[in-house]
Order: sequence, then C-alpha cells, then structure tokens
Amino acid sequence: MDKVLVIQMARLGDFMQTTPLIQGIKQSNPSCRIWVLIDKSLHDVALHCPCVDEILTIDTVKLYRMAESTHNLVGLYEELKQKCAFLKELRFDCIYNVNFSPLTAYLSSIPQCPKVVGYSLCADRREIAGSPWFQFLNTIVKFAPLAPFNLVDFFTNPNDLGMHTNNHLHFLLSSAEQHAAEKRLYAHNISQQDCIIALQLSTRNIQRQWPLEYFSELAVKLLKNEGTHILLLGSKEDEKRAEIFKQQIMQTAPAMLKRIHDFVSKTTIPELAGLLSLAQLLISCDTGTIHIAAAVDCKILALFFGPARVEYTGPYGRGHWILQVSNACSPCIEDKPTCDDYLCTRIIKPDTVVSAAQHIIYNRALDAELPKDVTLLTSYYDKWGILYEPVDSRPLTLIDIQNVVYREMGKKILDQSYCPDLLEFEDTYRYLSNTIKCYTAIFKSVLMQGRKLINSYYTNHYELQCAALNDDMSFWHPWIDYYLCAIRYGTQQQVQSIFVSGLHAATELLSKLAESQKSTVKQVPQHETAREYIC
Amino acid sequence: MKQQENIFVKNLKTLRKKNPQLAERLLDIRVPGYYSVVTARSGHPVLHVMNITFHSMYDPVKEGQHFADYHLKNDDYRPGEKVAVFGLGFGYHLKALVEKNISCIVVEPRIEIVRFAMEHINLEDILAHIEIYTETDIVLESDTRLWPHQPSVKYSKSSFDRLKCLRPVSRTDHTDIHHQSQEKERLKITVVTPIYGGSLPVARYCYAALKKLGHDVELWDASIFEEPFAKALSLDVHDKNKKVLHDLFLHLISEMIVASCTQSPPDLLLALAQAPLSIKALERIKKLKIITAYWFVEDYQLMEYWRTYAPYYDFFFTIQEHGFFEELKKCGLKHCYYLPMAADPQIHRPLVLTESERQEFGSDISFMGAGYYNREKMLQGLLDYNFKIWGTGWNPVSVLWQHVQDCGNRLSTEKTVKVFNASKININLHSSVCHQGINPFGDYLNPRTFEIASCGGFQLVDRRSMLARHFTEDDEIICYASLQELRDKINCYLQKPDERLKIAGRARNRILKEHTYEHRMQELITFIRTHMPEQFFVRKQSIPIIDDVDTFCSRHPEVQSIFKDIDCKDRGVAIDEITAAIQSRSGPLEYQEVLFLLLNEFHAKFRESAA
Repeated sequence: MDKVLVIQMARLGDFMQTTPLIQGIKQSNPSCRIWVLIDKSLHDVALHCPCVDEILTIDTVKLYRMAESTHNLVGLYEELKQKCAFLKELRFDCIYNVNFSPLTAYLSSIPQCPKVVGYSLCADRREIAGSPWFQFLNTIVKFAPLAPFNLVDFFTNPNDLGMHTNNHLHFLLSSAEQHAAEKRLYAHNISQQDCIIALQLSTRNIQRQWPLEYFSELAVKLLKNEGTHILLLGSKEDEKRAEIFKQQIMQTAPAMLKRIHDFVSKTTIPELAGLLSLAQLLISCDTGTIHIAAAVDCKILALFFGPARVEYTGPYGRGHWILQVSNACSPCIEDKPTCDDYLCTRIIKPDTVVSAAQHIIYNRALDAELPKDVTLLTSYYDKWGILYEPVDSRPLTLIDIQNVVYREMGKKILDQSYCPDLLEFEDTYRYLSNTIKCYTAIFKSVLMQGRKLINSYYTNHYELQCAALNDDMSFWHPWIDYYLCAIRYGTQQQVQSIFVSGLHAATELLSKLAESQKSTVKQVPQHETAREYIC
Repeated sequence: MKQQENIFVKNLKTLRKKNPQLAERLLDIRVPGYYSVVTARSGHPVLHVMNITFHSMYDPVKEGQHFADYHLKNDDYRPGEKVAVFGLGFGYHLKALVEKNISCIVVEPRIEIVRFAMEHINLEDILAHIEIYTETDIVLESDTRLWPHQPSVKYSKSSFDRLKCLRPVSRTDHTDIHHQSQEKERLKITVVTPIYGGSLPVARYCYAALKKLGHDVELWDASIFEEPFAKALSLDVHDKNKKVLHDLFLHLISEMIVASCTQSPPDLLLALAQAPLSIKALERIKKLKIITAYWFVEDYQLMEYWRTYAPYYDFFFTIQEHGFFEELKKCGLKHCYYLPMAADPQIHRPLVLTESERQEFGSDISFMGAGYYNREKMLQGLLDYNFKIWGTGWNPVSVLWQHVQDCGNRLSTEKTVKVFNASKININLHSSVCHQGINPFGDYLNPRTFEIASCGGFQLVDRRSMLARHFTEDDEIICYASLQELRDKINCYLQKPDERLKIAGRARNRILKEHTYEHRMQELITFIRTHMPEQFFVRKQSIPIIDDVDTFCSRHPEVQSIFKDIDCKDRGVAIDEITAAIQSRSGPLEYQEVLFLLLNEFHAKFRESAA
C-alpha cells in the first residue's frame, strides 16, 4: 500500500482546486493512503474532502506571529523543531507539492520520501524548480492571460492520472449538514420554490473586488423578480461591507431588505457549502467561495478583472459563467496594482450582470450589450480539461492563438504520442473557427518563427540565439523562457526533448491551419505602450 | 544706564581673572533688542526673551534655592562630584549652588545672555566659583552630572541636545545603562549617496566613519549612475521631455533602493543631501520600519528642495540652526538637529610633499572652491600676491583666470589635500550668489573649514556666526570680515611661518578631538537613539537572533556544523546570516537546516507584509 502526501499550504480556493488531484491519486491507486499537509485554518475543509485519509496541519499564522513578535531565535527554533518533529518521523512513497513556494519546498524535504512530484528545492538550495509539467505551469503563468490550462488541470495532470475529462472539485456534505442548511433557510422564510441567489460581496484583494454600490444595484434589480431571495456570504472581515450594503438597500428599496439574508460571518465553511448547495446561483468575484460553490454544484457567475484571469483560476466544472475584463493593462500583478483607481473593477456594470444572471437562471435572452473589453464566457470540457468559450462572436486576437498553441504544447508534454488533429482543433475551438480565416497571415508568420526556433535548437548555440531574439518573436517568448528554465534547473534531457516536441506540435498545428485556410491578410492591432511625450 | 555700565564693569573685572578670553569677547557682543528685563514680585530682575521668562515671576531667589535642593536630593549628589549646569539666565539657580559650596561648569550657548546678565545682575559672588562655556561642543567628562536650567533648555533646545549627545556615557550613571547597552549594539546602516555633487564625498566619509564605529554599513552608491544620468539629460529633446526622463531616472534609482531595503532591511537609512529618494520610496521604506535620516549639508536658504522631502524623514540633520529649525517644524518635522560638517583625518591629513609637488600645488596664498559670484568679486583684490586658484566654475574671461590652475578642472581629493598642505595660506571664503564679497549674515561652516584644519593647513576664513562654536578665533583659526582685513592678515601671517604652524597645529588638534566624521556619526546615532528609542529597536527586535551561539550549540548539537562557517565571536547571529550560511553549503538539506530556512520564511513573510 502506498503512502502519499499532498502538500497544499495556500488558501481555501487553492485547497479546493487541489481536491481533483487527491481524488485522482485515489482513483489511480485505490489502496493508497493519502495524507494532506495544510494550514490549520483548512482542517474542516480537508475533513470534507472524501479521499483524504489523514490530515496534518501547521498553524502558520501562529508561527508568523511568533516570528514577528520575538527576536529570540532560540525559542523559535525550539518551537518549530517540536512542531515539525512529526513530519520527520513520517515516510512516504510519494509527495505532491503543488505550491510554488520556498516554504513548502522546505517542508517537502523533511519526511523521508524517494519521490517528490511538483516543486522542490534546486541543488543550489535557493531556487525552486518543478518537473517539466510544473515548469511549464510556472513559465506560462508569468505570461497570463495565455494560460492554456486551468490550475486544476495543471494540478491534476502531473502524473498523467487520466483525469482530464470531467474533473470535479470535491466537498462532501453530510446529510445532517445538508439538512441543517435547509432548516436554516426555512427559518428565514425561504422555500424550495424560491430562487436563491448568493452574493459574495468581498474579496481578499481589492484589485479583484467589485464596487459595493454595484452589488446593491444588482441586488435591487434581481429582487424585482418576486420569489427571489439573496444570501449575503462572507467572513468576519466582510461584516462592515455587508452593513454598508444593507444601508444602501435601505435607502433605495427598503421593502426588499426582508428578502436579503445576511450570513456574513455567521457560517463555518461547511455551513457555507450547505447554503451554496441550495442556491441557484452564486455571483462572486475571484474568491475561494466560487470553488466551494463549484464543488457543491452551485452554478456560478464570476466577475473577473484586475489580476484575475478565467483561463487560470476560473470556476471549475461545466456550465459556469464568467464576465472577464480584458482591458489594456490587464492582467495586473497581485498586490502590485499599476493604478490607484482600480478602473477595471468598474467596467462590468450591474445591468450586464443582471442580464447574465437572468440568462443563467431563467434562460432569458442576453439583453444587455457587453461593455467594451468585457467577454462573457461559459465553461466546457475537452478531453484535456476545462475551457472557457465566449458566448458572443468576437474578433480573434493573437492571445487566442497563443492560448491554442500553448495548449497544444502542453498536450505534448503530457502525452508524447499526441499528434495535433485539425478536426479535434475545430471541435474544441468552435468559437474561433468562424473568424480564423482572417488570420492566416499571422499563422504563417508565427509558424515561420516557430520553425526558426526549431532550426536554431538543432544548432549548438540555441541559448545565444534565444537571447538575441527580439520583440518580433514575442509570440514564442514563454516557450523560450520555458526552455531556459528547463536547462537551468536540471532535468535537461527530459525537458529539452519535451521542448522541441512541443514546438513541433505547435508548428504542425499552425501548418495545418495555414494550409487549410486561404484568405485576406488582416493585421492584429498593436497595443501602444509607449509613454506620451510632448512634441 | 550708568548703573548698568557699573555692574558690567565690576562683573567683567571678576570674570577677567577667571576667563580673560571670554571677558574680551564680551566687549564686542551686542545684545539683540528683543532681550528685556522684567521685575518679579519679589523685586528681582528677570530675563525675558521671546516669550520665555527665565526665572520665577514671584521670587527667583527662592526658585533658585529649589533648583539646588531638588538636584542635590534627587540626583543623589555626593560632595566633590563635578556638576555642569546648562543655562546661565540671570544666575539665581547658580547662586544657590555656590552658597552650598558647589563649584560648577556653566554651559550657556548664547553669549549675548552672558553679556546681558552681566549688565543687569551683580554676579561677582558666583563668577569666582563657576566656569562659563559658551560653546556646546565641549565634551563633558563621563562622571559629570548635567543639570538643566529648564527655561534655558527651552530657549536653546538644540544646543542642549547637542551637549547631551557629545557627553560620553557614564558607567556609574544608572539612568544611562540602557543606552550603554545600546551603544554596543551593532546597527545595520545603509548610507545613500547622491548621484554627484559636493555631498557625494561626505556620504563616503560617513560610510567610513560608521564602519569605524563598528556598525554593519552598506554604501548605496548612486554615483555609478552619473554617466547614464548625464547622458539622459544631455539628449537634444524638449525641456519638458527632459524632465520626464529626469523623473523616470530618479524613480528607477529610488525603486532600486527600496528593493534593496526590502531584501535586506537596515536599521537606519542615512541619506545625504541630493540623494535620489522619492517621496513614495520614503513612504515605503518607512513601512519597512526602517528609520530614515537625512543630512542636509547645504544652505537651506539657497537650496529649497528640502521643503519637499523633509517631512518624509524621521530625522533631519542640518548645518544651520536658527531659522531653519523653525521652518522644519512648520513642515511637521519632529526631530531636527544641528550637525556641523567635519573632516576625515585619514583623508585630510598632513603630508610630506616632494619638491615638485610643492612647486605644482604650492603658493603663498591659494583658494580652493567653485567660482561663485562673491568669490569672483572678492578675490580680484588679491591678484598682486603669489596666488593660485583651484576648482571649477571660474569665468575664463575674468581677470582671475590667469590664476586658475589646471584649466579649472575638478581636483581629486588627493590633490586637494596636497594644495591645503602646500599653500602657505589657504583662503576660505564661504560662497554667496548675491554678495559682493563676504556674506555678513553667514552662519554655517563649509567642509573646507574643517578639511584645511585637519590637513594641518593654515587658513584665513571669513567670519561666520557659528565659527566660535567650533574653533577658538585667533587661537585655532584666524578670521577676516573685509578685504582689507584679509589683506592685512595675509601680509602679517606671510611673515610669521612659526605662528602659522602653531595655529594650524592647534586647529588640527581641535579637529581630532571634536570634529571628525566619527564624532558626527556617533552624535547622529546618539541623537536618534535618544529620541526614538522604541522605534529604533522594534525592527531590530523583530529579527530573530541567537545571542549566545555556544550555549545554543551545546543544547542543540545538530546545529554545530551550521555555525562553524559563521564568524560569531562575541556577538549574536541573525537568522539571515544563518540562512546565507546554509545556502552556501551543498548537498541534501538536513533537518536542522530546513528548520532555519523555514524560520527565515516566516520572518520574510512578516517583512513582505510590512513592505
């Protein structure tokens, strides 16, 4: 019987996105025992993950506080030595470390284990490197929004667990918990015939947060449908925001307040999951709550802007909806906004969200026009994982093509026998094929660049040539970066062969596309980034 | 008026016996018109200056007795111990001490108060028992008790601070034991230089001095950007575009400094005048709980950019005092402190020159410095001497040009020192952009005043109001107030080589005793410690440290191999040092190494959140 440890020391959403990996490990080896190493705050969440056999926790908050409140390193060392002693005694057959962080890289080195999948510390004891697949994730993430795989698929695929299609997040509610949630809503005079819409008002990071006045306008418009109830969700930190929200409703539509039910700071995570399991729709920005909702089959309408990109952390599962903002400066970096006014948080208007919500719940036609820079997408699967398809037709961009090409490369990393197939392509990217004819010239251009890369790879001075590549080759920069990372952090032979075969796969697809299409040339508009100077 | 004169003459006669130099100086002192005398209810005269009443308006004599009783009782005074009183006022408190047979030193930084007191109060009884000092640069002995006369402290706060900072810590002074332990502590300090300019060498001197004082110092040398910065500004583009480039360049350097501070936060960031630190950068550095200090070694009336930056520093050190401090306080700055220029005796030192060096750098009289307007005017009156002018910015079409050496190029520090050594007389004239010659209101001393003295060079310097605080005129330094006086003194001292040597020797001794950059940096650190003790150590305390490595290793033998690569003799070792040692090793991580790396991660997280 194998003993496996999965390390996920990040937040709620990250843990939820790791549950398909845990499930996949169990399915591929039902007799194995799975241990998880998580932050103490997620203990209850892990208890609801069906395939977890043992839970190990570290109270990181306590350790952070200790680290900042004392200068006595002796005390800290002794405390940590005691806290980590249990890890040292453990032996595992395999450790999955899915966090790209020094903290988990160090932790993964404590138990005795012959194999670490995911991220681990390099020989220089400073840098963190991953297996080719995780190195690919790492490289691609730097070039968001072209992430060709959702984080869940990245997590699930490292060992080719055969879980590409219909992965699902897992949060198992007991019948008692389910019943308690029903009772709770009943106590609020909400019946099973009512339409329940949950609103998550806050996000951890203000860059991802929709304005409160938009939420209140949205609520008022949704509540115009009799029989609609709104549940306010959130943690203790969100209490003040919920209060202001209710005051705004009081001023504009006081009669509707009775159909707004404030559960902010009044639920545990299992209780939150219970309420979500009874809701028809959750409307939220990019939060951990959307991943809980996805796990309990609550439909989601997610509002993504700022650093949030649907391709990477969008709600997982079929039939979720996302309004994604892609303005000129998007996506910005987490905790490092490029502006002071967070303009992108205001681009999606309440009317757009109302229209999308009514389309999802009542199948009404989308009557509101989407603002410029906003796309409405819906999730679906291909055999490699989740994808997000735009609802409306729109011009193809270079980023779309990049996304396609890098997904092809990823497939090749996962499966060396994979061969690009035009039919599969057209099926997967059915929303692109209508407009793809206009971009044959771009295909040809990037195809030539790709071939140039392949040719240069077979010479002896590839690194030098990579360094000399200019902006014209920007399409391929993530791939070049991937190569350079790969040769830097060991596993060269493996990664190099993957690199070149991935490149072949991409150029093969592009060749097929270019040959199958004959059309006019249309240039993709270049985004002007230069600073304006006075003439 | 007659009675006033009589009192003054009597007092002066007594003082002359004890301190003839001070007595002579008092003859030339004029008391400002805003000094006045008010009468207490008891009928005693009381000094009143700028809303400050220096003694009780009821009974100053009684109050003076309280002063003496309070300190004798509460300060655990034992007969025979030395006492220094800060503030003369009208001397009621001193009279009470003298009556109790206590002799003391009196430090009164305002010489005009001494003159005024001697005009209005009969001090004959006490003058015989006290020593009056009018400079605050005196260094009190460590076991001297310092008793402040509070109204005097209020009126001369910065001088009092300075006196305290210059005072060595007494081993027997229990109130200072806390500071004593702090003095030993090795601080991590980053010194930020400007990209170019006069304060650039000063930054380097500060760096060297702080190192000598035993601190862990890093020099953030922005001068490496001088060439690209000049290149960007020399582009043939619109002035406003040039401004954009200028701001972007400074922004980049600022960001680099913030990044360095985030990576490895110092306890103290000391920026010299013109250091390229933006307001946003300063705000972010403050969030890292790093103390920021600025040494503004420029004339605040000439260079006004300090208004923009001063409010963003925790400490602002200046080479000027009155007027400037009021302006700084208006900007909301809490801690400003007078920190005059200084010299680095290892750089600015007496040299044995070769004959050819004497030929090249020597002359009867020389002037070193930039060609400011007042210098152009004044020095034209010296063209009949064997006269060499060194420095930049001189007008090639001026009559002075024939005396300008080395085509008016900037002289290296090494050559400058040779000039100071080789010249019989170094003329020092403080710059002004509006005066015809000497600025009659000039206050601060330029670095050259200290550097020439430190080289053992003889100088004639224009008289400045702050000069007397640092040098004794006619004994250590010779001053002039007009071209005629300058010429007279040149003529006089050219004939007296021995006299020149003696005066220069005394000036150098004064430098070594009181005016090196080590003195200044010690003073700066002491001032910061005194005024911000808690904040000063909050970050320090937050860096986990092992104080006693030997004991730790004996308790946890598994860590011994980690510490063998760290030089930790007689000092604590911080987590970042241990991390660096672990990362410099190779092979699979051992458990104990992982624990330290994890600890460093937890602490790094705290640093990040602060950032």
